[in-house]
Amino acid sequence: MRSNIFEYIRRAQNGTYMDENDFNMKLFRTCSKLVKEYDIKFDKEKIVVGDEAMADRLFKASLDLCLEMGMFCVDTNRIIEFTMEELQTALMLAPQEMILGEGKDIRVMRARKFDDGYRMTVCGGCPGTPLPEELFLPIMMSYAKEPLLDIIIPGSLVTVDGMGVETGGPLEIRACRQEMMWMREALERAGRPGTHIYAAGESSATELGTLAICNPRYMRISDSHMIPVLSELKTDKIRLSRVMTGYEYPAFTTSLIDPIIGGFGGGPEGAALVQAAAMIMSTTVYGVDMHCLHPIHNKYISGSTKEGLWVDSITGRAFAQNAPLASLADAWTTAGAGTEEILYETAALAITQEMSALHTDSLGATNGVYPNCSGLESRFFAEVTLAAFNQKLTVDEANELVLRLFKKYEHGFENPDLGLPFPEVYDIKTIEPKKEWNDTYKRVKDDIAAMGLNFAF
Amino acid sequence: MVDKDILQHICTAIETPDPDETVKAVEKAVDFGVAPLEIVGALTDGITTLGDKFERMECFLPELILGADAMDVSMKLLKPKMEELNLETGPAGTVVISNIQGDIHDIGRDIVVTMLRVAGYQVEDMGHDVKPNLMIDKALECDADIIAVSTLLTTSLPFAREVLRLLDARGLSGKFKVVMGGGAVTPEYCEEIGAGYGDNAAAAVKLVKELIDGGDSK
Ligand code: B12
Repeated sequence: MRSNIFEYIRRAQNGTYMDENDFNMKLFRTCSKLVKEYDIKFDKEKIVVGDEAMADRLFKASLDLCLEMGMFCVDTNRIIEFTMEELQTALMLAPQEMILGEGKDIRVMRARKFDDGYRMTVCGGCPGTPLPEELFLPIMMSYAKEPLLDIIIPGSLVTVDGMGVETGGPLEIRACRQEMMWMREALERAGRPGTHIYAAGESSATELGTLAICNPRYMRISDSHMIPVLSELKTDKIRLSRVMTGYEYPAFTTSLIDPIIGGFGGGPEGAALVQAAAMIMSTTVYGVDMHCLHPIHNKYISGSTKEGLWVDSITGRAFAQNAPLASLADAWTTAGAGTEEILYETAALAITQEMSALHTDSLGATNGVYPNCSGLESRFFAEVTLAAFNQKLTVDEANELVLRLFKKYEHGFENPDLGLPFPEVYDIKTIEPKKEWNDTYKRVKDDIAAMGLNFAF
Repeated sequence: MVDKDILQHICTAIETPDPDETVKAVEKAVDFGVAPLEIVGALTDGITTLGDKFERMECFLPELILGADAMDVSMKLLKPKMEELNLETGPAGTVVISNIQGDIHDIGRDIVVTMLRVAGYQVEDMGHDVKPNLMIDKALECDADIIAVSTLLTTSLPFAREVLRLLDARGLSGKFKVVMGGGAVTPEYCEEIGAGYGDNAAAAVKLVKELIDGGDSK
């Protein structure tokens, strides 16, 4: 394991004591100071960031933030402090290339740089979305069936045999194992048994479920599990237990970073700073191989807000230029399957991520709340990234396109169209999109093609 | 005229929000003999503007917290004066709140807590991952009006329901109103288990106000 986890656990026990509220308010002051000092500015007309110098400044500011704040352990009220040497060593050791999955289904996951000739790795699925038991397998099959999706992420099972799963209770174990059994079945039935399962064990909010799936029947070492950073710049014993889970069971790991735009970091600039610092801290303390980026708009949640897109774009650029990491951004939409809006949101997210040297952690329709999701919008995501990549869009062209797409869905933030549950957009026997949903998809694709995006097919 | 300037100063200071400046301005107003109720009025105007700005995303959570802190300190400062004049100094009511067992999504709760404080309620914030029985103990201890439960995890919903079941088991049904919110909670679920529901922080304040001012909270 790349992280010196024992040392960080020691610091979580013995570091400087601090009241949590004081930590939060210190973060706000420090972020405000650094944002000014490093002249970081959100521009709502420049969502896809091309400003190389500002991205470099963000990177430098985030190292300062790590040194000034440290990582707060909420169980002990202690601060895990860092030296610059520790942070830089961790960044240097971060994997630049990984083989995910097995056999002929492997995919290479790269720490992306600009113009290195590679496009993103596309993850499909419905991250953590609570799915009804009876729909879990068909929904996951709808993603497994899409060949453009390189890796797959599960939804959550919140009932098992009709019984509600409780956080930290015995059913978390059963739910996570069942989730993995169905994920494997979905992939086998689609003829791709070796495909990487990203963030395995979504059905567990604690370390119980993760521990329960450390067995090749469930999560293989070629799959990955997720270790969240608590917002902002915090950790706790459960998260550190997930790190320890990987100590002798070397499946891949990914962080989950959710900076709140309008929260303790401040506005979009502060949230970008916090996101970047959390990437460095989780590389250092958790020793994660990948990162999942998920800025939250404090009113609308969605990643498709201008603020959310910008935060991902500038962080993606900052790391690609300074310390490449394999980062998968969440693509969370306000709208649900079956609507035109979700497809426009998808396209804006896909272009922004592809142009910012990011990968995707897939779509969270309705912000991960309702099972109104399907493989089709994930396929569309992949098609858009492919088009943006092949066409070699410039930053300005991409930005202009994203701004036009934004106009097509912005009305949904105040009045969301949550779309339809899976069985209403897909035939659950054939696992194929129903005509209406397919027609909507074609219509929107034609419209976006007319805006100037050259789809391969 | 002097009074008006002083009051404007208070209003601007809390709206900024600058707790130290607010306290200075309040102290000055007291020294000049401005009526306590007028001072409270200026403070309320300032904090209301700040709350509106937060709703429009023109300021952020930490600023709202600073505003609420400034309000708290100022009210403590005014307390003796208000008591001298036999004016009401107590909070509008008391709310015990937490993210229920297993849930650590505390950002939404932080916002709700701050908005309730801004609206003048005494808030006992128990933090996150709190066992249902401990919430009830706390509500008894501080003679609360309302128990407010936040959860974003469907798998923590059973613990939210447990609050009501335990109130019943402990013979305390009806003693406290229970309200809930957070992404995993739906209005239908609340209706089914007999709790109030709020979709966002503004709705939380409205709900608490209705339940307390409705007069049947205890
Ligand atoms: C940020 C976030 C995180 C952060 C939390 C950081 C923090 N300190 O809060 C981190 C990364 C730590 C995290 C972890 C996890 N998360 Co999470 N997370 C989110 C996310 C993306 C946003 C939540 C948020 O902050 N919203 C912004 C705030 C402002 O909104 P809010 O909380 O809803 O609050 C507002 C209202 O609801 C209301 N309100 C809130 N409380 C109350 C109370 C009362 C009384 C009232 C009246 C109103 C009210 O007012 C608030 C202000 O307007 C949601 C997605 C979503 N759609 O919400 C997922 C989500 C909640 N998480 C989810 C999951 C699965 C997890 C994990 C299990 C992931 C994992 N595999 O480890 C863990 C579980 C941790 C735990 N034990 O709780 C799922 C839950 C699914 C479910 N229904 O069960 C969601 C829906 C996303 C998903 N599909 O994956 N997460």
